[in-house]
Amino acid sequence: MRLLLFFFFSLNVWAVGFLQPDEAFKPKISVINENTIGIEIELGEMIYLYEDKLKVEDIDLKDGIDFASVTMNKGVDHEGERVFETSPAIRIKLSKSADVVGEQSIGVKLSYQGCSSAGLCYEPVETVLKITIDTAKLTEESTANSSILKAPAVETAKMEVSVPKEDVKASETDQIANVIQGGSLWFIILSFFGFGLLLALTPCVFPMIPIISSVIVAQGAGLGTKKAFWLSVVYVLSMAIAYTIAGILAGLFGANLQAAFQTPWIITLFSLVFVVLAMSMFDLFELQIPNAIQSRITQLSGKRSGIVGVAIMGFLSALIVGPCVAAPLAGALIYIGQTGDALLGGVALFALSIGMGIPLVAVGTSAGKFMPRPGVWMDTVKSIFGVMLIGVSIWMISRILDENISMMLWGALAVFVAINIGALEPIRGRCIKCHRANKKALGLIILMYGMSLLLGGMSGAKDPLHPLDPFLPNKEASAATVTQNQHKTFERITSIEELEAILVENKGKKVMIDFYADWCSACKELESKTFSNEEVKSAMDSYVLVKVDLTANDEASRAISSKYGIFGPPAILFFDENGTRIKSADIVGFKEPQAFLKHLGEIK
Amino acid sequence: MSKIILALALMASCAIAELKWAPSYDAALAQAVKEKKKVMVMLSKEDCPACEYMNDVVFEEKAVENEIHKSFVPVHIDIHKDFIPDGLGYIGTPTFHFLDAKGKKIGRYDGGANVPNFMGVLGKMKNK
Repeated sequence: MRLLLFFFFSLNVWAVGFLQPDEAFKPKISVINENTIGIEIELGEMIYLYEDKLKVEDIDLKDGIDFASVTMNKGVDHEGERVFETSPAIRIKLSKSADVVGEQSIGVKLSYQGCSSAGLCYEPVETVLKITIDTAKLTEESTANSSILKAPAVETAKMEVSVPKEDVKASETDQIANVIQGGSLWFIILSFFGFGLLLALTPCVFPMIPIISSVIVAQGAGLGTKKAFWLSVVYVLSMAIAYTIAGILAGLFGANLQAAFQTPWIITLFSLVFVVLAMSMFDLFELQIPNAIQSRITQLSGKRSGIVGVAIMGFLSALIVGPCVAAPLAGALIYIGQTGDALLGGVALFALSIGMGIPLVAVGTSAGKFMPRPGVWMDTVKSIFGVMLIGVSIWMISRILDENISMMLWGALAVFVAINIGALEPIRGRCIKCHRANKKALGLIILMYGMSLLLGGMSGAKDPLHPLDPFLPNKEASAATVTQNQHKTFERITSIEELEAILVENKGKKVMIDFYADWCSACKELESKTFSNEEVKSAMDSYVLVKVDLTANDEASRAISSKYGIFGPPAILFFDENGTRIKSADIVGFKEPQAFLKHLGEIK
Repeated sequence: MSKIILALALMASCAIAELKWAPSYDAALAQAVKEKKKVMVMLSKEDCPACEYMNDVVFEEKAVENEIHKSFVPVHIDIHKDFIPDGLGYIGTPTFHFLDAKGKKIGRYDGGANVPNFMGVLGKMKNK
């Protein structure tokens, strides 16, 4: 029965012809509530509308009834265009000027343009829809003439109207918004807070201690602990504000960085900046404001009093300490710049400075009685920052390096760390259950892992969790043949039933479907150039691979093509773990290996 | 960026595409008389995925190209830019009109088609 339906359906589209424009698009206008009218466009089978071609206009700008606002839901991605595959929902809020009374007929000019995915694009359509409204309930305009003169711009806004969410690929900004809404925001805040705490334990924060102490002492004798605490909090908060501003700026200006971060030389440059910053953490050189300025501000702080004074000092201190914590701070700022999100930037840097400030509050409250004791451990904390910065540097440059080369870099870093924490130092003296032994053991583990990464990288291993794969005895000597044998192959099918069975069977896995035919040279080119590429093969391994053979070009081929809106081969479709089609990922036509890899990487 | 690459790729493929479109409708009719062929008019426009599929996939196919050159003079009309001769109707793009050398209509095909289907259309039209 179902098959029969498909036959009918495909015949309808393929043989009988296409829908006439008035069958393909059926616009309707209705009253939604007392001051809102709605427009829907019912779409025929396989018909879609372009989002950017959909417009509404007030035909009579002088009738006293105006469009206060126009909103519509968002379309979905279709071969790189934003389209509506189901009726768009347009909502027009009306307003009136004072002299309009009773029931009035108004006209809306609607223009739209669309195509049938069976292979025909319609001409743009313009039509006027009439509707009668009761003007008694409309709100009156406050600025009567402003909107009469010009037609309101159509703004796209999210509406309560249900939009199939799974079909919509989040744009870059949405993704960042997701980070903020989702749990990873908390992860970022917590990490930055943690970094802040760690930073407070570096010698960097030391110049702040005399400042905060003197600020609090300057308040005069007999200052209660409670007051001292609040003053310290004010000091820390104003310091936090300075950093938050820096974070917001980095987020704002960094928006453009995102694009720049696609180019290899920028990636290389920033990667090097991180290496240099790391070097300052290893005391190869020092970033600091001249002592003269530092001590001057310290002196000044003695004279300031009151909450405002404390706040100003806090703000200024952020600038003094700034250069010293510059390296980690710059790292944080560049990271935020990459996200291009000012809100995230502000929040993250605020968390960082609160983390940094908490020990200061402790110092301030106890008026200097409690202070972390300086020692070698502070330099250790600094070195940890250094290693982290180098890690970031490798992470950045690994985007443009081969996997095995970046693995070697990680290996090298691990070896350096291991040796520096004394992996190969003898444990002097009697040492049972002592700290040095644990450290040495840890060092040896890191050393071994680092060396295997190095060795694995040299032999072409790509997975840091299995660096020694190329040496495993049950595999062929050459890494290339090993990987070739492991790759998945395409399962060939010809019918809807087979494809649906595969999709059900592979719930929980991602599926890639290639529509192919012998008579299609572009399909063969895809096979011989793209799918045979070693890198592409590895990338495709995370998918269940299905090839739909349309060579026969019979009813079954037509049915499956029209079911998935495929106009003809070659076309590649992707399905996520839930068996839902990722429409935005559709590929039509030939794609070179590199472009195809990039495309695979962008599918989320 | 990817759009630029796409545009370049399209330009490159245009350069190597061998389907020889007549420069104009009149030129196509004149050439059809001279070579004793029929005329195939393709009505298309920009932003039309099915038109792009015809150009990028179907007309790239050697078999299709040979079949067209054997019996037809192809000519391309952009419905938004070019003059549309009388009688060449359409409800959308692409629409194919087949004419004899005198300009008399012998058939019409609406919409895009894959390679074998379009070969079928060509086969039917050349014998009319």
